[in-house]
Amino acid sequence: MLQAYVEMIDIEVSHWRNLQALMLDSAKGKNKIIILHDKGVIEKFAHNDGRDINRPISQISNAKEDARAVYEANKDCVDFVMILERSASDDYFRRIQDAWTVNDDIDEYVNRAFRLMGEYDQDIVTYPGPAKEQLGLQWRLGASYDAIKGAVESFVPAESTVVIGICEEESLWASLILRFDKDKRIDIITSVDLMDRSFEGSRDQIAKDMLEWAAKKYDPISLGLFTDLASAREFLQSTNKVPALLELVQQKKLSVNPATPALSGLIANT
Amino acid sequence: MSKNARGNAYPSITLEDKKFVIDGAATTVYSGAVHYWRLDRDKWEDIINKVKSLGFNTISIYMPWEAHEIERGQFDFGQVDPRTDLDAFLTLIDKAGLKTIARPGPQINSEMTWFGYPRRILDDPDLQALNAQGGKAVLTQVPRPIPAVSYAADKFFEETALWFDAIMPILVKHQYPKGGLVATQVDNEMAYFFHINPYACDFHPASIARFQTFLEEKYGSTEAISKAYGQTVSSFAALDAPRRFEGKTQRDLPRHVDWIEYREKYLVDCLTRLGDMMKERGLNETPLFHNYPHPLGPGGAASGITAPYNLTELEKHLDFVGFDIYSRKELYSHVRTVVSYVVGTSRFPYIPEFIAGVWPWYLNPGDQNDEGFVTKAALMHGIKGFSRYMLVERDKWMGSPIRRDGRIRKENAVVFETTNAVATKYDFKDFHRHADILLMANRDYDRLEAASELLSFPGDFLESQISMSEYPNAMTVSEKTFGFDEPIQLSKTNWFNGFAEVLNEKGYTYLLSDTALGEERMAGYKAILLSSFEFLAPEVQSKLLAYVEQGGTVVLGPKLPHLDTVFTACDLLKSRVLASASTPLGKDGADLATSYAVGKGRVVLVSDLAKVSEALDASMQAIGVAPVVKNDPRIDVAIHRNSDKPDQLLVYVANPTSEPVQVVAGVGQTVKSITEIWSGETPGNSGETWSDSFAPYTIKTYAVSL
Repeated sequence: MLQAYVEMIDIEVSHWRNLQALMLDSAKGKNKIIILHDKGVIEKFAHNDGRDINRPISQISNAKEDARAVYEANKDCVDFVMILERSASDDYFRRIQDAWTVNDDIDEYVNRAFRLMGEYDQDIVTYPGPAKEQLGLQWRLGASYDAIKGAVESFVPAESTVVIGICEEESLWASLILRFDKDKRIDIITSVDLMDRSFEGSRDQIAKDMLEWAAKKYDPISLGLFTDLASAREFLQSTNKVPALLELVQQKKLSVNPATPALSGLIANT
Repeated sequence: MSKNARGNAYPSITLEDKKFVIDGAATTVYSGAVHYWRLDRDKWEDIINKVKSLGFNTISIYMPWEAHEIERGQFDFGQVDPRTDLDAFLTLIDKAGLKTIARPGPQINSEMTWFGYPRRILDDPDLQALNAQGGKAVLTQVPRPIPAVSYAADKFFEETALWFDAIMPILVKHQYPKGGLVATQVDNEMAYFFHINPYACDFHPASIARFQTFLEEKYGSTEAISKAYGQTVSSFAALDAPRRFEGKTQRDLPRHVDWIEYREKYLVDCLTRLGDMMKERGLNETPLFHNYPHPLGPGGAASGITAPYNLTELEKHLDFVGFDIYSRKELYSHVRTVVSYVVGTSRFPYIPEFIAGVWPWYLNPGDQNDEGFVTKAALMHGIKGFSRYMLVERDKWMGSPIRRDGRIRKENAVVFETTNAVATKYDFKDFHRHADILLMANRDYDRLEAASELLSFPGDFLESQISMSEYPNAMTVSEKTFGFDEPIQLSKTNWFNGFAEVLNEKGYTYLLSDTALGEERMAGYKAILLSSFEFLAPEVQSKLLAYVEQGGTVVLGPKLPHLDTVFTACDLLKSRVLASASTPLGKDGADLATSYAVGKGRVVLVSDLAKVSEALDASMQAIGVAPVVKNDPRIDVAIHRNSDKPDQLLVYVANPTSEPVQVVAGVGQTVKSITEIWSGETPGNSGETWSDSFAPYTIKTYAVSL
């Protein structure tokens, strides 16, 4: 969904840091046991901290079962267990790279890579699993890439801007401003500028101030979404987005202003 | 006229004693990065003045081939887009009285969509590096993943020549003393496009041909390589590179390790060739340098500073080489490692990219407190110059002290402004970090570690799909012993870290380097520490022996080597040591190590990692090396001396923990007066030690008169 020359400009670091914490999950820093094997023969069996670990298996016969057994035997010191067959891993990364085209944006490329990992569910295995949802840097949006793309297609007009504000205790905790080009690809990613002005007060007041500020730079604003941090978390965790959104609107925990015609219609029909 | 690297001699600039000397006077290089083509032309002058107002004396500038090329061989330098008028920008810098550091690539990354290249370069299959399976080697970056370029292909240099032909005349016009351009960076973070993983690339046919040539030069004959590989090699041209680690026995190792050594040479050769192209086009009166990327090796200690990098070898061809640093405060040990290595190894310890804001896909970005702490940490460990990247914010960069419209972020800017002011006021450039000891990473074992990597995966600016570090490490390398007493590729890290932990906790003053370091540089230390197992390169054995014969002390363990790197008998060091008089080093009746009197010096063999701490104390006591005084092992102390003023010290004390600490510190000499230079405060001074309160993540610097 990113345009080739997308601008990421004037981003407020504290807001960006908060958004990362809210929406991204990295497996790199988690405690894990890794087992690498060649067709069942274990070549590597180690904890990331070099801890002594229980080894209830001596070869890999059923990677999923073996990962579970290793996890159960060491669950006090691991977040997950990972088992990789070396040749399968080589083949997986070959296919990721072979599928690259110069027109892939980062989201398309990475999404395809994780989908492809699903085809290796006997050889690239985690417990808890599946690996394609545990490993790497994962979006925690409660929706698939295709669903998000579909939502943009349905609810965001071309050549318009979406403004998102998340409030916490009478101040703006995070902001995200996305401008979409004629093909509905994002061509600007930014936030409000806290050197220009502060954003304090009720959620409604902050929403009003944000829209006023954003309109000067990124008009037309087609969609504004304003909520509090707890509701943002609730929405992201839900896997059925439309009912979750409508419920937050009904509970007045989410303001949709302005709303695109499609979204207005959806809200009005409930 | 002094000589710098490979006989390079410049009329006005020399690098002497870790100083940047212009017209005979040592000068500071406190630089910040500005991207002219990303700024409105009418903002240039104001922004340059803002840079100067923060105390910077140099501007570091990328020059993107991607932004200047209109079509192949045709370039815009302001004729179409006024923001690309590089000559005008350099002229404004000259006018402001600032120095310039040029970074014309050809690769600049710079968070540009095509890494600074015209897209046609990345699109050209002839120019694409290949992975082990023969496909493209794709770097996952934002906003577009891109294929790595093969720097082994001659065609790449032919294309680069077009760019250099266009830009070099502008740079030459501003080359010192005609203008302020005092140094030029060759390429950028050359590391296989971050395909650090040893088997990720480059398997381009041109690279394989270079690998074969490397083997022929190394072994000289098919008989010699056949013997080393334990298999019949009919011709060098018939040899392929190893596509993944398949080692089962000791005899399988050399062909994999050769690939790792070749990968170091690949980078050195390509940078040398690009540097020569710059010189041929007139950029031959000012130094050339390179920046290795931020080495995010696991733990920030043993890995990431050697293979595929070889700073010592590259400085035979370029004038100086540094590592970029983008750490948060929690990674203090990482900063200490990287800076101590650059200071211990480079001719001019310079951080070519030093954190000032970050790119948006940096996970969990820090703030000005991180930047302030990391800045002091780098100064503490001896850095002599730096370029703040990015001093001026722009597309795909956030948190810089100067906004792209010229506004200043005061809370960020104060860190940089204060640093420049204090460093200038106290003449940091005239001080050098005192170090009695050199801790060496053992490149032979680091290469084995890289060679025995069991996984192969491409570089990724976000996070690899399998969440593993691209740097080979204990999570991904083989556990086999290959006929040795232990898996050296794993044990070497334990020994390196064991030495480092003892040095840090006890407070011995030390720097880092690796076994590629020249003999003349080793001579400056009272003791050298390194891990040593069954094998060691003959030239390393010889260097250590020469150092000891001249009076140095080498502390090593757990073994004296008896093999060379292709595992044939080689006991240069062992035979000399064992023929010397030996004395057990003990404490309270315990046998800690054995000291051998060799020539004017000694070799101390520590066989048990658990005894390193006490053995080191006994060894250092024997040669009169004492640690600094400190009351808490978590505290770090670094002493900086001024050769011209031996009674004046700068002493840095760091609390790199998340807890407050009440510090008592001393330098083993009577302190007449002491002032903390960042605050101007005077700590309690007993004469032998002083005491001070340290908040979490605090570094203080004391001006001490003895």
